[in-house]
Amino acid sequence: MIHAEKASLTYRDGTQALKTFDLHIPKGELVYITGPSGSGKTSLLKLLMGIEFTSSGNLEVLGQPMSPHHESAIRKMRKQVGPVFQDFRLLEGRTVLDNVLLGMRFLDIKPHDRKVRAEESIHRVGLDHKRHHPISNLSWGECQRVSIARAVARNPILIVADEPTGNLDKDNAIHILRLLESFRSPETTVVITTHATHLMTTGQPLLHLIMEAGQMTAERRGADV
Amino acid sequence: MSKLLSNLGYVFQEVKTILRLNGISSLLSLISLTLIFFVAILAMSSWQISTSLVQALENEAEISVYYDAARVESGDLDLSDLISEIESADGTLTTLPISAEDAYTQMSVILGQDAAVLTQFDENPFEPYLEVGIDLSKLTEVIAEIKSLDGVVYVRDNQTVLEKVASIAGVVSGVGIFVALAVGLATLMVTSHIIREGVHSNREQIMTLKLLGAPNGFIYQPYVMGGVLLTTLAGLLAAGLFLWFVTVVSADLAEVITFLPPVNADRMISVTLWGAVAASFVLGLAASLLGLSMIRNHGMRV
Ligand SMILES: Nc1ncnc2c1ncn2[C@@H]1O[C@H](COP(=O)(O)OP(=O)(O)OP(=O)(O)O)[C@@H](O)[C@H]1O
Ligand SMILES: [Mg+2]
Repeated sequence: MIHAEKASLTYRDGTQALKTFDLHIPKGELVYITGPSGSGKTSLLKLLMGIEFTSSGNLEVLGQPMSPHHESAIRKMRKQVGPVFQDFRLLEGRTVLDNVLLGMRFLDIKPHDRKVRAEESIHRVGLDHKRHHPISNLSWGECQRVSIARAVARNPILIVADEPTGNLDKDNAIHILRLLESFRSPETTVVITTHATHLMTTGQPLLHLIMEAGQMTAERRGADV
Repeated sequence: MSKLLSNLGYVFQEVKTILRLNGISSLLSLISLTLIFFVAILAMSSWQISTSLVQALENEAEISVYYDAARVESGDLDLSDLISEIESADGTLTTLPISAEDAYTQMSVILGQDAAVLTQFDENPFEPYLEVGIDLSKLTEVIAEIKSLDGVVYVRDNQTVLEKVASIAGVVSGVGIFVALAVGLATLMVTSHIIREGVHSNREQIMTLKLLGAPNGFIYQPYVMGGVLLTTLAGLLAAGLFLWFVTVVSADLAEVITFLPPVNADRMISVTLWGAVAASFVLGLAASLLGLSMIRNHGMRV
């Protein structure tokens, strides 16, 4: 699913955001990445999404080597990913339903099935009553749920969420995290970054990546830990 | 096919959204493109009018070839041989023999009331000659060739007048080409700028679509379509404006133009209109693609 060997990331301005690390995440894992601000959580996700590329070492995501020479293959790989962003990145001027549909437009799905999947995932995040509302009328928590609906309607095998609870109050944050965790399945890997270590689930086994100034330590937790 | 159609529906929806979200600047662009096209159509149609005028004048370019009438009378020179020699010269269009009597009549018509002056002559003072229609572009060569023929005494041409007509024709088509170039460039610049602005102001969205794995074709289609739509609409509006303009000014124009050879206005208008719409479509497409080629990555390499 995700394999990194001796990978590192140094930005063009010389900031070393990720010190050399190895990482192996099998299919169907729930992964939490935690650490203080500036420790490199987002940088790691940028590598996974192909927004940035490793400065050294190798990284493979869903079997795709992540290097800038593979532009169109990386675009294709992204079709199997469901990204959730801290700032939602919803498309302005469109309704909830349109946003969820837009995430599927260029996937190989029949129009009718797209509609069904969109309705289903909107239902799953509890926004049925808002599906024809424009994005601009929604609250922060609702926007985050729309962006989750957009991600999961795509039937991704990898869900990546960067700080999905950043702007939410505690109750909403817990709700969002549990929602995201619920999409983990034997086929679907879920990767979440957060400051809020205390909000991590205690109910299921997970891989915990602890970041500290670009240094990564992995720690496995069972359901009973 | 149904996929293509449903996608077309989506693209139009997106174009609408993009234009709506960038309302004012879309409107301003539409207005400026319309005005550019309107000026272009005006220039083109005056180019067309003047070209057809020049053509009409060129068709009427004539020289008078005087020959040795005495030799013709004595049988030493065969007029029909001379005529066929003149006709075989490259650049000769028509040859018409004018007898001395015809020349007299022509002159009395030209003089009108003053024709009485002609009665002062005991004998017909005019000589027979050949009225030769020539191709204006070969003016000098034809005249030289005809002058060298045996039996030709003198060639009267309005060379200076004819040359002026030829140079006016050159200037007019030069101006036309210049205007066409200027308008093409202006449209390319304005439209590609609009596209770039559109893409730039929507870069967040475009990046999101990239992150969702959308191919470039899918992402940029609405922008290209929007650009084409905007220019074609501007072309249509300009054509409409031109039609209105023509009906308002054509009455005045007709008065000015009476002394000139007639111009086929309907044909000219339809050529201009279709030309404007087709040109605006092609320019819009070219400009949109140009605009897109100037942006691309938004700091994201893939
Ligand atoms: N584009 C960039 N160019 C240069 N340096 C960058 C860039 N993006 C991030 N950094 C630096 O890399 C380091 C890691 O940043 P990163 O965004 O990965 O942290 P983070 O763990 O996500 O922090 P936060 O919890 O605040 O989101 C920081 O020192 C940051 O300043
Ligand atoms: Mg971050």
